[in-house]
Amino acid sequence: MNNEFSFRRVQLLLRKNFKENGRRYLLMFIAGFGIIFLIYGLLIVGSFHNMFPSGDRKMLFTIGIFLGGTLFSASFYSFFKSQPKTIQFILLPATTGEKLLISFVLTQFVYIIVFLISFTSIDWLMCTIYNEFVSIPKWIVEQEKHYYKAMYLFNSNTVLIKEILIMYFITTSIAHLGSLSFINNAYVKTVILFILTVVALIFLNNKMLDLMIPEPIMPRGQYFTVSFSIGDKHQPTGIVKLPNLWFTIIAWFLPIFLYISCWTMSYFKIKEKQI
Amino acid sequence: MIRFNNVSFGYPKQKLLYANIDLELKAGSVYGLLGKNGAGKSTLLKLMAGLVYPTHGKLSVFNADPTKREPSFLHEVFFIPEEIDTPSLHVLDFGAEHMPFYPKFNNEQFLHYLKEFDIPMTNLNNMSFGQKKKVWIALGMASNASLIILDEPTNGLDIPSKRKLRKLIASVINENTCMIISTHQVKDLDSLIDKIILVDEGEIIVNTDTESITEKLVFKLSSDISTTEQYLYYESSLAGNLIVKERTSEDEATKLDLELFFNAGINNKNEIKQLFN
Amino acid sequence: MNFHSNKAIYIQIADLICEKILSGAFKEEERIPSVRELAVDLEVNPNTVMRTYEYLQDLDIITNKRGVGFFVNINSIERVTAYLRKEFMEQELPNLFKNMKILAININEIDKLYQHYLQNNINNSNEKK
Repeated sequence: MNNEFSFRRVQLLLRKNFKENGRRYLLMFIAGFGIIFLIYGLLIVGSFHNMFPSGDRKMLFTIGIFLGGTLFSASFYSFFKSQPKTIQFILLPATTGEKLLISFVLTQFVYIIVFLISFTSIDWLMCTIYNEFVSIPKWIVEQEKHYYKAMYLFNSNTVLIKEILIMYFITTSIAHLGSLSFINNAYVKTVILFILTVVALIFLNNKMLDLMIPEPIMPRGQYFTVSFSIGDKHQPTGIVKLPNLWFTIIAWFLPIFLYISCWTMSYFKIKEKQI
Repeated sequence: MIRFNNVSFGYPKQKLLYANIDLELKAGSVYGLLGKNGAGKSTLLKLMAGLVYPTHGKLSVFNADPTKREPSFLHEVFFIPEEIDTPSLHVLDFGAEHMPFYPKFNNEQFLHYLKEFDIPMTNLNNMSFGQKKKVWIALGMASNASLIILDEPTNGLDIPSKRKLRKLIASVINENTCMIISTHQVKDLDSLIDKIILVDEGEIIVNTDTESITEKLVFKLSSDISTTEQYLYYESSLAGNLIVKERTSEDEATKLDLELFFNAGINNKNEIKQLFN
Repeated sequence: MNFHSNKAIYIQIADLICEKILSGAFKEEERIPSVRELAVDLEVNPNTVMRTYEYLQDLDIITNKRGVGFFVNINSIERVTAYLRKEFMEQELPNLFKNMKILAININEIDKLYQHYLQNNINNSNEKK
């Protein structure tokens, strides 16, 4: 076998991973599915004579996707606690890239796909059940009856699916990196570090901009400063606006940069892992 | 086959464990790696397998750099750690999941070794520590890797299994393979070991074959210790004195007593070092 | 096999093979176990067995037929006897003498016992016939 990237080996690694962890994945799936199912059941019971709440479902969806996804990613390398398992992982004849690809595929594709499919099907099932069995109070006028009909979550245009997905990819990548960096309590440590970093960034961002631009900043109240005023604080002589393109570039550059750095760092964490 | 070139190693924030060591290991032998607890035996093994990286110096294993961890290197190395941990899998699945990664893996051998070791055909979870270890050993031997590293292989093995292990090692070693065994239980494997590496306090005291040890030293039980003779080391007890001394032309070759040799090497480092370097 | 501690292992294996030849377990001109077979059987390193076989070849007791294996030579019994005799004279006899001296045993006593032993042995083998 050569030392180049080999799809055959990736397949073998995937199969090995599923064989060895299949039971754990199945338990996680059943637990997650059960929790969502249970909460939906409670929602139905709680809204027998009410509207089927869509806000609670959105919250459940968001929590499920983030909490579940980051927990799953942060526990991916929990076997590093076991020295023999780590030795076996490092010495398994495959390239680092191939080994990394397994956790990439599982955390970035498999989890999210399985979650989306199961959540959608539970949502669909429960909405159908609600619509079948829950009676609409008699005093409701005909024009308002449609409010009492459960709407599928993904029909509603208030779910920010694109933003949620981007956030999912970034947070799980960070959690994955955390799982490689911390051997014990990877999740808790990563979360703490993440929060500290974000707080520090916000704080530093303000400070830095303050230093660079001695004028009052962020008159538009946006996180990324796209404009600032010149002149006196109370009577500005003018407002300088950054081109819109800058804003777009920053907004896209940051997440992509973060994402790529997370996975590059993960690659080297595995490659340089010593035990 | 394995060459340490002026290699130093230390764990982060600790003082160097090995400083500037040179060592060469050849194929076709069973190496016994001896040393006290904490002498750095496992670390030396990990260096060879590329599990830790040298702080300085160059280390090559079959002309490859172990720290690169290329598959062509990895499938020639099998490391069986002292402690083992196995996934919850049927033993045959466990073999099947590893087999394709090792081009020279021989499934018939694997099954044969499992049978020799009396491994039940069941999930690894239902097995005792010793059984799991034997599964690992069987897997390692069946991988036909050129470098097989065993860290305390007889730990956890019952008496018949130790015998089976000796037979197994005798049957797999050939001129292209190199087996390195780190052990405290020297009596378990001493008839199989034909090269000795003795480490103590971060230095390689001896790296030689058992033949030249028995050529240069005699090990015997003697009732009296004469003051005229020079001993390298001796242990006294009521049963007599176990002595190690330089062999002269009058002395018959004796059987190598590894335990005695080990003690001599640790206690009389400099003289032993001079004799074998 | 249990190796006792005073002789090098390869010599002990050589002794073992010599005994097998004397007892007729390995016959002249017959193949003896290969290096690998014997190593596995005795749980020793194949290199050690190889050394034994080289040693026995030097003593003209066995021959290596390339690609076939090791064979016991014709008339090897004589050589084996000579070899074991030499070993006995050089190693075991001095020990015996040393103990005789310590315990003040006269050679005549030994001779008497030896004659007695021979007598018994002859009687025994006669009875068996």
